[in-house]
Amino acid sequence: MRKLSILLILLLALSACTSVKTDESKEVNIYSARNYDVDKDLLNKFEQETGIKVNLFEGKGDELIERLKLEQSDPIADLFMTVGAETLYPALQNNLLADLNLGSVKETLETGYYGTKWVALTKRARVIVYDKVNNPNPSVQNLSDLTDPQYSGQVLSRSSTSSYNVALMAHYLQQNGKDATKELMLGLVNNFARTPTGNDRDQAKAVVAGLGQYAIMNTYYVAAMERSSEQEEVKVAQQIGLIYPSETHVNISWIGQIKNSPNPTNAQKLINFLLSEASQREYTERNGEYPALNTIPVSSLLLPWNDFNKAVIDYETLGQYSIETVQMFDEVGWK
Amino acid sequence: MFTWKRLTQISSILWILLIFILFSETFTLLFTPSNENWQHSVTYVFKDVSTNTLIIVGFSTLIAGLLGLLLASSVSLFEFKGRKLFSFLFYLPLAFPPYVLAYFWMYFFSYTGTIQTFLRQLNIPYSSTWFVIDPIILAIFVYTSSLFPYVYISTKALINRTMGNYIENARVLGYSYPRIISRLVLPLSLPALLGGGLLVALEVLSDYGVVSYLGIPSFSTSIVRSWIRFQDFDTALRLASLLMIFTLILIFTFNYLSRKIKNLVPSKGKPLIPNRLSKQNSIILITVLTSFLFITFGIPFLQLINWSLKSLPSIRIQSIFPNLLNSLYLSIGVTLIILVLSIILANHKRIQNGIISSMSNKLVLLGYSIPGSVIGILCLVFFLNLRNFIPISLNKSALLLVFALIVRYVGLSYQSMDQGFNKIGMKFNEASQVLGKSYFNSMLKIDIPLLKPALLSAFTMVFLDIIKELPLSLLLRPFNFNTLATQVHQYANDEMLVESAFPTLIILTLSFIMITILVKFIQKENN
Repeated sequence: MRKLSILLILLLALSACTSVKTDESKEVNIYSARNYDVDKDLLNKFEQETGIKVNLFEGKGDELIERLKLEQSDPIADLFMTVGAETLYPALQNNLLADLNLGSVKETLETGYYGTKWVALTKRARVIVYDKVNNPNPSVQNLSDLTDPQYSGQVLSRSSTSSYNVALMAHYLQQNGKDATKELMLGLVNNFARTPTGNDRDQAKAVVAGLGQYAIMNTYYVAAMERSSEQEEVKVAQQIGLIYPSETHVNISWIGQIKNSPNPTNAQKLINFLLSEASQREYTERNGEYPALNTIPVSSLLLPWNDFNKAVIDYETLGQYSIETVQMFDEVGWK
Repeated sequence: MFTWKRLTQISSILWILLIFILFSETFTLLFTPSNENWQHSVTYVFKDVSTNTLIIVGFSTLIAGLLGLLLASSVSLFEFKGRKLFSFLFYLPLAFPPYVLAYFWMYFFSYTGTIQTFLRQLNIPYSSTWFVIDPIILAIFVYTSSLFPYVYISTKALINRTMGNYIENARVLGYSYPRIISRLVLPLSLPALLGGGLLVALEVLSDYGVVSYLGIPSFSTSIVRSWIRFQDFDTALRLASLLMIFTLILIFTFNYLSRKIKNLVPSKGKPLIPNRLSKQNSIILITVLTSFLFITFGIPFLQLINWSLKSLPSIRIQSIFPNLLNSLYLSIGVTLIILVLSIILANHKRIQNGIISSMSNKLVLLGYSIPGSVIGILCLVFFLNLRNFIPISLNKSALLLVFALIVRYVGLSYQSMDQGFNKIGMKFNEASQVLGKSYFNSMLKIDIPLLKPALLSAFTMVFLDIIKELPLSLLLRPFNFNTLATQVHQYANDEMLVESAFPTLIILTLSFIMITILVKFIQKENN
């Protein structure tokens, strides 16, 4: 009897590990590296409006790509959404994505921010920040200016493990080639105020603290600091000024549909929903990102989308330069 | 004939085989030619990575060992007001996820952090450069302050149980306390120091969150970097296998030393009666202990409470309850399975003390020492291969995550079961069998009750680890499944420290409850 009951308990434990199967036609499966509350709320809204159950699996972009590769013969996910264009190259290269049918939505989007198999949901610029109070007349305009020996000990950046830095330098490599990029990296490293540490917000704080004059930072975090629950962070956000380089690096958060995905129609519906004006407004207002729809206004701390020059980036091949970029980081000693 | 004894033997061999298959791919890689990424790693990052890892692991283990010893000695040797409370409170830092502490201290010393804001408010002139802390030193501080309880717990138990005679004699002979601690308690506590120290070292080796946030190149960050940034699974596994070899050497050394000193140290002795301190001395001791607790535990904890209150309007509160339930299901469920498995494995070693069981000892511990993300990907590959034979729905069940968590944490529980069984031996079970009870019945009626202290401490340690576990949960959880830890990560990863405080606070509260139950039980046993 006792043996039987123990076996029963084990069986129960096993069955608890498997869950009930739901109707395939009424659901959509997403692998997402956009781990934000605003996304969860938008997906909830989609569920309520359409009755389609959204199954969400959150992770990091590159890890999700690895997982999609492993599952390629029998895909589970319908959609993949992530932050950073670097994942686009491996996704296309490994033939993970299906063709998109954007229909009339396409007309509302800016050229260069969508392809046949992907579309940008939001955009973020990587800019230079400085202290408006203690350094009211900043003398730099571009990243390359920061390599000048006069800024020795004045440049702040996070470590080379940051995907934002990888994307930034991969873009430079894509446009200017290996030698120029290495020179830029080396110049920056030589002028670093400290060994790179902390996250984006930590760099802004270090600028205001006077640990260095200039820091490399994402606009997205400036807007996030402005909304912070910590009063001191809000003050920092207000005290820093943003320098948009003459060819500003803009990275995208993008979405794509998985090839041979189980629920393609629902996937398409969800993409259209996320590109709708209402959703785009949420992204901008609650998450501080530049929207894919340029008509929506952004935080007053950031420059309006049309007021600065963007570098032309081929997002589809950006990821091709990631590996070389990381190797160069090691070579120049960017920790 | 089917017997429970046979069943436990077969299942433990099967488990070891499974682990062996899981890890074998990494080791075989070492014997294949390497690619250019590997060469690149060797040229540019290897020196940094090994130096950093050695420094961080070495110092964290040493300092945690020293702190554990001193704290355990203080609450065991001396009687003073609040002694019992202190001896309980020193367990609590174990509940802190190290990555949360890293975020917190980095914030604390930053421009917007408590100190600098305070100085600015009082208009005290200062320079921010005073508060720039070397990331490696901060990492060592964070690991030490959250992991020292491992050493503290094991050392305190040993001192109380066995050192009564020696310490009383030394007191009678008029030895000073510094001398008693350095000449007597230190050498006699070595087995406990080694046991606790090994856990600290393994946990530091496998941790990813702290070093990654602080930007320190280490083994765990390089493994993930090779895999993700270089998109080179091969090099990642190669690095992982090097880490595993390093770990195996570490485990062998610790085990070898433990065996060497086992005979020098008494296993039984008179329980220790603490000595009442003079009023002045007890005030000094209480002040030192309180400040220590305040730094390792009080300051971060108070800040978390403050942040939690501030963040309530801005976090997605409706996620908290389902995440709490998921965390509880997962931690309790997996911990129970791990306990059963580790009893089976340790029991197998008890009956059959051969090469296989001694090898299994190391293999089982291995899971505890490699970064969770490596175990995660090994398990994922294993299950995806398995899917060719058996239809399993990976994204709709927690099976994969449960399996990986077992692989990762069974070693922790196994260590305590093994020690438990070592203490009990076979004699009671054999006596019971002679008296006509079946093997299984003897196990259930005699061994398990005797194992109770080991079971409870294993349950607590594994529970504390799983409830704050991140890399595996992030990689392998099913659809729509979040835990408190993944929610903490979601906010912290997006640099929303304030918002991450509330789920962290719930993790801490649950951990405190577990620790309280454990301590209450130990006190009851001691009485």
